[in-house]
Amino acid sequence: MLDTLLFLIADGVTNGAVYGLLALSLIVIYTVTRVVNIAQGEYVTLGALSFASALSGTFSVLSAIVAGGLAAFALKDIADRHLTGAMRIRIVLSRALWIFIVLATAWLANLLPGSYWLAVLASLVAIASLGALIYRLTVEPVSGASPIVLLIVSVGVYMVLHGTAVLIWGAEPRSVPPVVEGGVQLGPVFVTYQSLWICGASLVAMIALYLFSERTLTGQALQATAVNRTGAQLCGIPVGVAGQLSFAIGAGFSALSGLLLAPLITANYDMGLPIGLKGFVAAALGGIVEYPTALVGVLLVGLTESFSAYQVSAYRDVVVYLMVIPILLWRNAVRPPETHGN
Amino acid sequence: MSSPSKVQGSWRTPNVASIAVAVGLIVVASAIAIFAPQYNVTLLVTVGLSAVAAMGLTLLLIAGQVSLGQAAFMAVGAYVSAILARDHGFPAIFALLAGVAASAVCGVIVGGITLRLKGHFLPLATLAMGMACSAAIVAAGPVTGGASGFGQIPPLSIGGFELVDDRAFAIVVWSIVAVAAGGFSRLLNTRTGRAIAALKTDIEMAEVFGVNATRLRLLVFVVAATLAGLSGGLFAFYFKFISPAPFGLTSSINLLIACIFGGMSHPFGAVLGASAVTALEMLLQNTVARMLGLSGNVEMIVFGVVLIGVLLRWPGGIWSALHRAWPVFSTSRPARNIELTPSKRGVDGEDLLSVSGIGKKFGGLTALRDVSFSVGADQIVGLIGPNGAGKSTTFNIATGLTEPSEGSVLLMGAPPPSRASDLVHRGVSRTFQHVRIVLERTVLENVAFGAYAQGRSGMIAGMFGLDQAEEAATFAKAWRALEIVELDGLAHEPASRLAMGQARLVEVARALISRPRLLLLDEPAAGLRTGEKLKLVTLLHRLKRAGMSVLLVEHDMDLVMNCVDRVVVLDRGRGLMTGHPDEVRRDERVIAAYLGT
Amino acid sequence: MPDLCISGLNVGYGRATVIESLDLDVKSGELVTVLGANGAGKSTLLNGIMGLRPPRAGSVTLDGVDLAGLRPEQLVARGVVLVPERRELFGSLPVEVNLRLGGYRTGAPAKSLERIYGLFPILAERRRQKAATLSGGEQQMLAVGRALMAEPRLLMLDEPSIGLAPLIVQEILRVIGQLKSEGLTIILVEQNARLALSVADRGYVLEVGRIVLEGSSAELSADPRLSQAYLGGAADYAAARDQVYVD
Repeated sequence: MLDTLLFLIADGVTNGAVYGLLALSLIVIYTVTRVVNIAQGEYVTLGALSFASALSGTFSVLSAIVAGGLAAFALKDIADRHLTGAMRIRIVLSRALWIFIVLATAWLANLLPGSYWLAVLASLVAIASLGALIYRLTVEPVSGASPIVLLIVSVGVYMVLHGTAVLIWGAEPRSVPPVVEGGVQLGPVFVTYQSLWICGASLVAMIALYLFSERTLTGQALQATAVNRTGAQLCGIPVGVAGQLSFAIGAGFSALSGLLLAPLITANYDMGLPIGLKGFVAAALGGIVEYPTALVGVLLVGLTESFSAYQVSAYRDVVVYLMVIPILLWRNAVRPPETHGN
Repeated sequence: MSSPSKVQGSWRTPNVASIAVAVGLIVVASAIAIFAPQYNVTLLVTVGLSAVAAMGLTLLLIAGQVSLGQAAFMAVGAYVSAILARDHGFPAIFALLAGVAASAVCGVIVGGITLRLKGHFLPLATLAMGMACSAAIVAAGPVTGGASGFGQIPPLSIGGFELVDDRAFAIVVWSIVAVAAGGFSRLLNTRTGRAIAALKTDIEMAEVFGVNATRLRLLVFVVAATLAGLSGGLFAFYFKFISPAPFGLTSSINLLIACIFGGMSHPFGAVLGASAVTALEMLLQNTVARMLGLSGNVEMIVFGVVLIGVLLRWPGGIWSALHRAWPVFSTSRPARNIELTPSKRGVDGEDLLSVSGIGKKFGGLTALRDVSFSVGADQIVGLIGPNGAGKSTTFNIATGLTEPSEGSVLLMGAPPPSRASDLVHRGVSRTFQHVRIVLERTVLENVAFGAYAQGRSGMIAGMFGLDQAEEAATFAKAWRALEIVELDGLAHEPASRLAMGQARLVEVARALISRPRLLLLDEPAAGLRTGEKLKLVTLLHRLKRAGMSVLLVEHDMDLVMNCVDRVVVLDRGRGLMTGHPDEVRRDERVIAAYLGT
Repeated sequence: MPDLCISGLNVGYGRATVIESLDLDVKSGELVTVLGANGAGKSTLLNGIMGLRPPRAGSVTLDGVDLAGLRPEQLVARGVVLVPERRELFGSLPVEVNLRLGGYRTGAPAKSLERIYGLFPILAERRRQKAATLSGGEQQMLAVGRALMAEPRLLMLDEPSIGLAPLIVQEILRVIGQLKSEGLTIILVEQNARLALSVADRGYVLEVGRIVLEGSSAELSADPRLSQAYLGGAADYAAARDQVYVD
């Protein structure tokens, strides 16, 4: 009995770590840009699939697409008539470096197939950049719109990314090797190294995000944009760049969760949406704005999932999805969301 | 006074329009059903079924609610009908009715729980509900056939007549589409339809005119769920095979896309949207995908791109671009002349509003303390003071919107009602500091909405034209109210085209038509030009002479001084003085409060 | 040192035009006040200059450089800084972080921070406190301090005295006076006319989006039309009223 309990807890915590990355992604994006990002799960899918490609030494088409998109926006930025010469040179150099990193990591992963860390790097860079691109394409043009319009736009993004994943990688699932095979006996429970790696990597990522937002001026600027967009603009913080950064962080975190999870469930085009929704359930506990509450939510969702899988296995997902409704009701009663933007 | 510019003819225009929509749809659909090849008949049924569900969702969107889980109600309709008919021997028609009823019940339950959610919480909740529903169908394999579904559903039969012919089925489906489209099209131009549109603009404003927002929102949600259930039930009986796939997230999203394509503002748009989505789907499947040798996912990408593109171009939906070209269905000026006299509510000789010693604390801060004043019959009272003096707080306490921390308020001799929707029944009406009118509707319709509390006709009456006498009376009053504020020349203009001053006057007319004894005006002159202010002063005195009392919150001191019988001056949350305008004007403290010391 | 030149400016919200063909000049080193009753369009004017509410027509130039169409952050980079009426602080962040963010463009050097703490010693004491926990007066000082961190060439203040106790208002005025003596160009929007005219070189009076009066502080203080602009009195309301009772 105790064994089962401990096993379920270990399982729940591992799942919780994955959903935690998702919940943080959703919160970063929502607080900075007011986008309730339905498409969040697709970055999980794309992260897992491009990781699988990179690991097997296939040059990812996605990296090429992302590089092309970045180049197009770089041209648009350089054309801004308000720029001085020095500013223009700085933009050219920074964008060139960005595009170079996207292509170089993808190319290196292609050259050295099987290199775990290179594959991680290449897919994270590509997906984070994709996030920034999606912001510029679909959010920046309507950044003043109501949260409902932004939400429906993100539904459109979900469809495009979902379809693109199938177009590039097909419907066949891909198995991905874990970081290290095997596992370790912790007391009565056997835990795979991959599970430990998932928990450890998630924890490190979360701490890194925390340090970034608390200790650096850029991180504080991101927080400032979340707290008060007008105030941030008046401080000279470029809120468009903050939006891109939040989308890059969100996409990168989700991609990380995808490539961590892939060895446990195989990478496939359909894996993202349910994970994204469970991230929502957790984030909703904190109204999609509070990080600490969301982390409680993450454990709640992870544990509910593993325990209901044990108790009413077939209805596991039903239970987890329905959890969101009492959570939203509670949150709505405590602190309802603003209905008219900021 | 100028005559109405655009619309002539009888006041039945909305009836004609809705009947035209219904007849047009059924004629075109029948023609296709009878003469088109078999394959196209199946398409016709598919379009019709999604149009039925999309119309419900459009109504929901018009009321300002978004559902991302509408396909779940289709699933309930489909599975309940199919299981009852196949496994429990129900006659098909009763099984269908039971399925529809089941979706309606689910609508009541889900709506009752989720409609209190604000902002983006509602779409999130419906999304989760839809996903849970799909997962539940798969999980309940023994009953539902799980992920692979089940077939052998008996055909739909009505009184011994089996509806096995596809073409006949198509005509049945499109008859339903036609009745619903015609009915909703008329509904939108009636009492309940105006209230639904007001809900989207501003729930608080709708309640001030007597709309029970909770109930009406639930009603709309249930109607949408019922239509989705009907669509699902018919789906089951047409294809005779069901599985979870057609009722998943993709279907919910496709319905939403159909509504957005169609403009989110008119049931006929939902029909067009559903047709456009299906047509685009066919086009992509038959040409692009086949030519390029790509799988069905191209279609998903294209839909996504189109959805994003439409929203980026027109964040208010295609409708915001089209609605200038759409004909105005409204009513022309009646021949007879009626007077809008204030109702004689309240006790004679007593004050209509009496505020004594009220105070308000927010957290630790005292926003207001010890303010007293009263408004008697046939009186205009001004409430003035510099920014942050506590005027809005006083105003909100007087109308029961805010509970005072101390002191008491008597409105028509009783404490203010706890529900805003009861205010109008007390003979009290108001305007808003920030104009709250329904921008998509005409000036006349905005004013007509003000008479909501005096009407009785509901949704069914509105759909099928059983409210004609009431509507005629409402519009006669609306015209009169517009004449009073001298805006009758703009009656058929969309409210979105009004200048600030005109919009404020529309609010006054809307308040007048509810025949208040006491009218509360919240900064009616803000943003008005001098000429408009002069008109406003004239208007206020005409109202007073007609027996109305007015509480006027206003910044323009001179305007107030020339309107009112008594002035209440607030400064930093306290009553500075109350008196005749001439006394106040000379008072050093008042001048100091305004100009600074 | 900057010369601000505004001509033919139109700013509006939705269907309403709030500021209509407005001309206004501020010379380098000047403190100019913009006065007017509520709803006259004073805040809209500042929001229009700042790019928060992009102007529909007209031009704004600073030292001959066109500022039209720039986003707020680009204006900050060019030395135009606004202290908004609602202060727009980052309530959940500490005082010092608020100040550092004010210097986002310049990297928030410690020297600038020390200067602000010198101007407002109370902020140094509260540096670790969240901005939302400050009193109204302290929040206003923080808003001014945060704006100064951006090292402005033109500082615009929107009703800094609003809702504050007289003593605090004096404190803020003292700082405004000090900044002026250091040569900073300032636009001060105020409802409290006497207060503003006591520190300003010149003033403009707005009425429903138009300038109805301008002149030196001394001229304006003596002009009876100033109180008219606040208390109304321009229109013949009495006639409008009497018209009702004639027929």
